[in-house]
Amino acid sequence: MTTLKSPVTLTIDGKSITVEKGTYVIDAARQAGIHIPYFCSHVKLAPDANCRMCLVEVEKMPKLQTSCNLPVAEGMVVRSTSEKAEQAHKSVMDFILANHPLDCPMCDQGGECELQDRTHAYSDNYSHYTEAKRLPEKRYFSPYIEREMSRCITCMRCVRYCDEVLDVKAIAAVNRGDRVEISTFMDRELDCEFCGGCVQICPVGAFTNRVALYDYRPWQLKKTETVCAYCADGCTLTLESKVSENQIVRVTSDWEKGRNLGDLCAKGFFGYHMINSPERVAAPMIRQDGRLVEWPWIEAIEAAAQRLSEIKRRYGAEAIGGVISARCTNEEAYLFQKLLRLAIGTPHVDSSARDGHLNSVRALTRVAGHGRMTAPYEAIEAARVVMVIGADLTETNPITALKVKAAVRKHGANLITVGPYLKEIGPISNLVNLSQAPLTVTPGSESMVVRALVKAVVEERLIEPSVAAQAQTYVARVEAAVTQLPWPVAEARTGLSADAIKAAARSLSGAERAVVLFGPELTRQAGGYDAVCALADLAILTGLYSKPGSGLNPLCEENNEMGVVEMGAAPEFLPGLIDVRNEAARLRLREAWKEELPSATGWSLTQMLEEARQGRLKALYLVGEDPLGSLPASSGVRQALQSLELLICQDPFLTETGRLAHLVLPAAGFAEKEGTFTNHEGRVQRVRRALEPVGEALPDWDIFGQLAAGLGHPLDYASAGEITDEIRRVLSDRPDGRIDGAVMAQYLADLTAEELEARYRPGPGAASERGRGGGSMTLVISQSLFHSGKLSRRASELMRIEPEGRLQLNPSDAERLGVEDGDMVRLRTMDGSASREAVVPAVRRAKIAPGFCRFPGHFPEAGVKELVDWSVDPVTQTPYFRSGRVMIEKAVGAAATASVQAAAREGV
Amino acid sequence: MAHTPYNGSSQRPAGLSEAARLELIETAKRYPIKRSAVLHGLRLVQREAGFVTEAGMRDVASLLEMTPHEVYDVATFYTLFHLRPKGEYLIQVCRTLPCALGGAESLLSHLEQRLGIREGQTTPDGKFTLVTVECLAACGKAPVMQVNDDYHEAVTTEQVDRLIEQWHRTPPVQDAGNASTRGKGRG
Repeated sequence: MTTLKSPVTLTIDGKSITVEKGTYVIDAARQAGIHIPYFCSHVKLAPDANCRMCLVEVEKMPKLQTSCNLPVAEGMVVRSTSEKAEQAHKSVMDFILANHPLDCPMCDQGGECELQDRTHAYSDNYSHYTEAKRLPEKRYFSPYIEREMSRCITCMRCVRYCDEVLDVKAIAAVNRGDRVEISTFMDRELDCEFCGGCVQICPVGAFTNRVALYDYRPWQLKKTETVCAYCADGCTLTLESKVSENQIVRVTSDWEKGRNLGDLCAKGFFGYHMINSPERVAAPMIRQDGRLVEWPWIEAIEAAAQRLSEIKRRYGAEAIGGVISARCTNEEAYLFQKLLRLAIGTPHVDSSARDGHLNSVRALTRVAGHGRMTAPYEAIEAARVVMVIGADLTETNPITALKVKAAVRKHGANLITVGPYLKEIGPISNLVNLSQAPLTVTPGSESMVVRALVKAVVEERLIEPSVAAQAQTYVARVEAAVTQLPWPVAEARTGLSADAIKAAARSLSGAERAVVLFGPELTRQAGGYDAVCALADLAILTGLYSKPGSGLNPLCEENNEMGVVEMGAAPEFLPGLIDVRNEAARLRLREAWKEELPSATGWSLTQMLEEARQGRLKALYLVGEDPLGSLPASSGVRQALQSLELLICQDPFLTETGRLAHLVLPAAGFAEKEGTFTNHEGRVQRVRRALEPVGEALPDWDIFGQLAAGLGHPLDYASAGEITDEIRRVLSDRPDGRIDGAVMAQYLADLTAEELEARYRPGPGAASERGRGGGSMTLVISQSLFHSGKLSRRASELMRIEPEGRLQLNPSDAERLGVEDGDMVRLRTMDGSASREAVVPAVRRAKIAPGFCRFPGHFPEAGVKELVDWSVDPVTQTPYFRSGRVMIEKAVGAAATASVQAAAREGV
Repeated sequence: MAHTPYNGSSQRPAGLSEAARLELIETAKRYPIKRSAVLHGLRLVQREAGFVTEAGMRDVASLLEMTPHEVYDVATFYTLFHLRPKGEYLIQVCRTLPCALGGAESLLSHLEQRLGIREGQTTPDGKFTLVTVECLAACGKAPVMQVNDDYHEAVTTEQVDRLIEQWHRTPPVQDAGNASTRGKGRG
């Protein structure tokens, strides 16, 4: 047993137990293996003591006490099974059941209902009431959540969860006494984040999953614990499926398990229909006479191997490249790079993590030896100061956002949000609301804010003493570098006062435990690599790397971005984030693999496309990647793909790119395979198979193995687990999430004055000033809470919640344009004499700062992606295509024609 | 589904007046947390509109940084807040035991007959709303009824008739949150 800080000993039902001071009696009892019945109490919530079920007798206390909110006291004697207590439990049950319909046979909660269980254990088998039961009127609530108020026991768990955990407050207890109903404002249809929390936390069947209504009896479902495949938060899910139908019926999550501890977002809770989507590719396809036709697996693999060998023979292995999706498992990424590097012999292997995450990994690996979060979720929650920069966290990483909310709401942390965002109390939570001094910045100036913060830390003498003492040269060089950035320039670019920036810097460096989280609006915007480097300076100087409980946390979008790069699916890294140019490390890996690795540095995704256009890359093997669907036409992606002699698309779906492919291989989805995902904290978590793959689909690792055999270079693994074992063996000494002191010392010593000077030179200005589009508004392609890449587009319920992309803009801008919610607006950019435009519906969001507008990137067909600026990072080859300057006007009488125009343009 | 903010639309009928908004903002400053002023906000809405309007609740929510759901939660808890329009005169008849023994039932049926409405209803001219309530804490003088802010004790049917005559002729003179001042200037 762990030692307690202030132990308190009490007696419960004759059993002596010692617990931490401040523990509630009900929890102390649980620790002693004694179950005190309850309804309203819940591990996620503050005690409320409203249901009265947990009454216990306490010596020297005149009345029965609610044990859920009674702190333990030394020498306390508690009885939960005395006659008085048991009588109380029976009376409470009688009250609670007074109006309950006991419709268990047709209730979806039946079999997992806390009321059913307590009734069985604590109730008399008759009621004292003879009056007619009050039956609340049944009213429509939501397409996603079913409400049956007759079953409600008014424990308020749902209302409390929606407030305390989600900070959404979209449901309320309407009326009073026995008339209470859980409802919305004026009893309208529910509009919220649809996290499913109220369904999960309801002890009875008052809230159930309407999408799965009457589809199941809980005990008949097969339960598979796995990890969510949408974002990088890494939530543990329980996929509940009908074995006979090979279908997921619903998703739940255990309150005591995983990194999310039961909390989910709409994607996790309602997004499972992509697994059984009717759009899944069921069989391999080969292009014949210009058409894709279904083909047997064996012949398809043979054809792929044969054509790859042919290209290798004619042009050399380096004419072949491969890109894998960061949605694949670690095992698949590892095997993919082995396939390319060893079986084919090409160094050209990359992943979708190139799209921003590589900026973080490259910068942070230089500094600390790895690219993971250095403050795990527990540290975020316990931090005194949390800064969120370059991410609208409640939309991009909703569960990480819950940790930040808990830090503020449960532990009183000081939250500093940095972004073009304002307060907005709406159906979707907003971290700005929880920030006492939010920094609302000019859109696109986040990287300038980082530099200004570094300047403030240096000038205000806020440098962590140990760093100042140990890295004098580095500190002196930073001091010199930031003098190039005058305050008036920083103020003009960011829209913030120097005082506000200095105050934030003081909070950050003065905090005992501080955590900085940063996301796509830094890493996916031009200059992303330099911005992360500057952020690392800020972290070093304010002691985020050295103070326990502090840290610098990169946020990832796709679920396994962290993993695929660590597995070596990147031209610059071998497995374990080993620099490909590191000869000694290469030799070690060669010994482990007993094979020669290609020595050249490979091409990134963006370079591969360019080389394809130039005719040097002849074959491209895409696994789960759809560059044609994602990248703007200005990147030249279509021309690049059309120049290829061989395009293989391995994917669960037939994508836009897949339609151009010579060969389409059907891949299994995350619910159909085994392996591991690494979330952005760096936690490696098991992915488990819940279903048989759709049609003839196979797990990606299996296909790689077969292809390797076809290439005459076997990479034999009987299971994904065998690959996991090899990874463990090969990477036994590689990143474990700790900061590598030697790497940091080396970095601080090696960092030249020139590089630092370049990093802090004010440069050509924020995106808002240098954008080519010539418009007055800054457009950013963003992520929505209800979607993740294009994968969520295959999830029918998420498409019902958010079926189309809407341009979000500030109400004042909307008013100036004469635009109401749902009105069509025309976005236009001028590039020289060429004008490009897109017509999309608009929606007002008070959260969006004036002059800023954003469009969810999950709807590329709207054509908005064609309006942004395209550039490539000179250091990391990260493609930038998420912001631009646009003109906006109301499109009178227009329908959404943009997709047609965009398609026409792409064809040119 | 359009996820629009709760304070999205700018112009709404029957929301708080500018003066009431300022008053609520001032009141909220007395509390460490703005939302503590929600009851006062609802009182202001009812004072101005005669009942708690949807637009009024939205305004209170927006000014106090709450969701409208939370304001609605509070508004529906208190019986002194009315979520539907009510008459200029709100007649509340006590129906608790002492008043019941003192003749509250016949008082109520007399009122229903005279006004031509049932308990819980409002006369078509918008003059009277008749409701029953629990103990008005004047049991010594049963039966008791409260009309707007005034108590009427040991009420007889003759007294009721006289009062109704009088109320028909004149609009109410005072208010304190639960009475209507529609059509009347306030000092």
